[in-house]
Amino acid sequence: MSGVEYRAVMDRRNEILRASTGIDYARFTEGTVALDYEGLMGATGYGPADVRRIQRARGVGGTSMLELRRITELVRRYSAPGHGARIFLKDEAANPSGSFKDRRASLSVQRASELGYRGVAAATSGNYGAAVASQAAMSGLRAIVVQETFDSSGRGQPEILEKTRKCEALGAEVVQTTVGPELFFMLLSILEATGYFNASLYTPFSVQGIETLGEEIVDDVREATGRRPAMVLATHAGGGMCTGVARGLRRAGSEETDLVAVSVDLTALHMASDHDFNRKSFTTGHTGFSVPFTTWPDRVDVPRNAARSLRYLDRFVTVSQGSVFFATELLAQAEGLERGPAGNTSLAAALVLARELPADEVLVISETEYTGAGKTPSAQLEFARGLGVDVVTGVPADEVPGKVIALPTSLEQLTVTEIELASLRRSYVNAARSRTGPRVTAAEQEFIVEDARLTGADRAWLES
Amino acid sequence: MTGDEGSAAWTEIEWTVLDPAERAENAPADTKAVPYLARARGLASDPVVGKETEIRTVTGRVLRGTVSAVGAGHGHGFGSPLPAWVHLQERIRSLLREAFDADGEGGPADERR
Repeated sequence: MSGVEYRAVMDRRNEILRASTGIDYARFTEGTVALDYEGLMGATGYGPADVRRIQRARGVGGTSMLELRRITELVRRYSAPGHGARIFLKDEAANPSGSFKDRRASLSVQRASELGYRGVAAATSGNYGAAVASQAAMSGLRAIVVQETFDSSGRGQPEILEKTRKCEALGAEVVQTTVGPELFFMLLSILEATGYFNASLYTPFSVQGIETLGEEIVDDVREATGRRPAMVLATHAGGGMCTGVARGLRRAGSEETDLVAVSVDLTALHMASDHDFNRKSFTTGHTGFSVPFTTWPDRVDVPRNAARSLRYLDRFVTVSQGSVFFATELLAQAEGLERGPAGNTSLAAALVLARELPADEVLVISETEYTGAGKTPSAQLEFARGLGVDVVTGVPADEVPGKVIALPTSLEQLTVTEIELASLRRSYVNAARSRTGPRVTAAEQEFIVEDARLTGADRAWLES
Repeated sequence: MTGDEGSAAWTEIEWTVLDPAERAENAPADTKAVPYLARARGLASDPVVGKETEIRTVTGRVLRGTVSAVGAGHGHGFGSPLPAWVHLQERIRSLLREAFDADGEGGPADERR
């Protein structure tokens, strides 16, 4: 391997990606930034009924919707009279590999299988690797997962090491790398060498696979309460869950439901820094992904990202790492559900946001994930302390990402921090304009307005 | 590989993908200062830690690198609870007792609706 080879592979990326996704992205793009988004989403060739049928046959979805009765009761003790929404939780840990990511992997593997690919590959340090491995095993396909795992001293977070183990348990080959943006190059090299299908997190297959989660949320809540959810909380990393859930909610006729993105606040830690890498006690679902991905989604391992969350978000909040650990322990002790902790990011926000809603309204948390060795709070916290991070009792405001994790001790200490969508929309417009240059075509302008969901003053600002 | 899989050992290899000077332009300075390394696991014949070898991975690929572990396993665990974590657990137990034990039943939320 050499620098020359690195540049040569990167120069061939468009042909490698076309061969490995079966999608000709050029058909849906115009000029520098414009994209026929619904055209791209339709490129899977699967309709909603096909997706439901494929997922049912693969044991994906149809997970339980659990009402968190005791947690709801606790939240009401800290709410104004008549407030404290009923909190429901979609138990996505019940999917075959233990997270909602099976929904994302299912259609990619189905398509790879239909097209005669011998295997699938994906770059991910998250639960998605296990989902790809599991779905591939079901279809008798081979799987390679490329995983950013170590810092330069060879240390890996226990949470990621667990994901390596799980992928291997499900029959996948795992290529672990040190920290760096060259992960994309590793994936391209493997795709080119093997001829496998690129089961990227960001293809239309992946995002369409999540739409069933939004549909099920509406159906489950209607069955349990006769109502529509007032608020759905979804963890935001690259934006796939928010995009797919929102599309599913709309398809099921629940457009008035507020979709709230939730991320763990890791402000000031650099995503690709060798030093910062292991000082994040959450490896995904944090601001290191969510802020850059909302303000410019097309930074992924396919030519255009099918996860475009600014189109759908009604609100965006962050929570502290300590708050998520608190929520994880509360879920275990109050409701008898040992899950996460990363999958409990939205639960931490729900403990605050449910107070805003009337008691007869319904709030839904869109996921749980499996837990186990390496993932548990005690494993993560002990590892953090070993790297010099202080783990103390305190309120969310005491937390300093990479330096201090503050563990709250009561519900009233929990807070969320709002991220203004208007400011994300403006950052998006600036990112788009840096690509178009000063002359923005009518098609590009139309796309930017639609993609950043610009209205009123922001729209006028773009057009000025 | 010798083809004699019966004597092969489950082996982890490490190799340098890119030297510091070859790293991506957009990598931060601390990341660019170190090489980009990779590890993979598979079967090798007579592997010796620190020596070059070839492994055959579970997908059938043959990869070459320096042996970093023989009989490579998974050592991650559940960790030991830190004092602040033990305190959080105790506080949650007590807030549940305060909220529910006074009612004498423990789980009345659904009946109040």
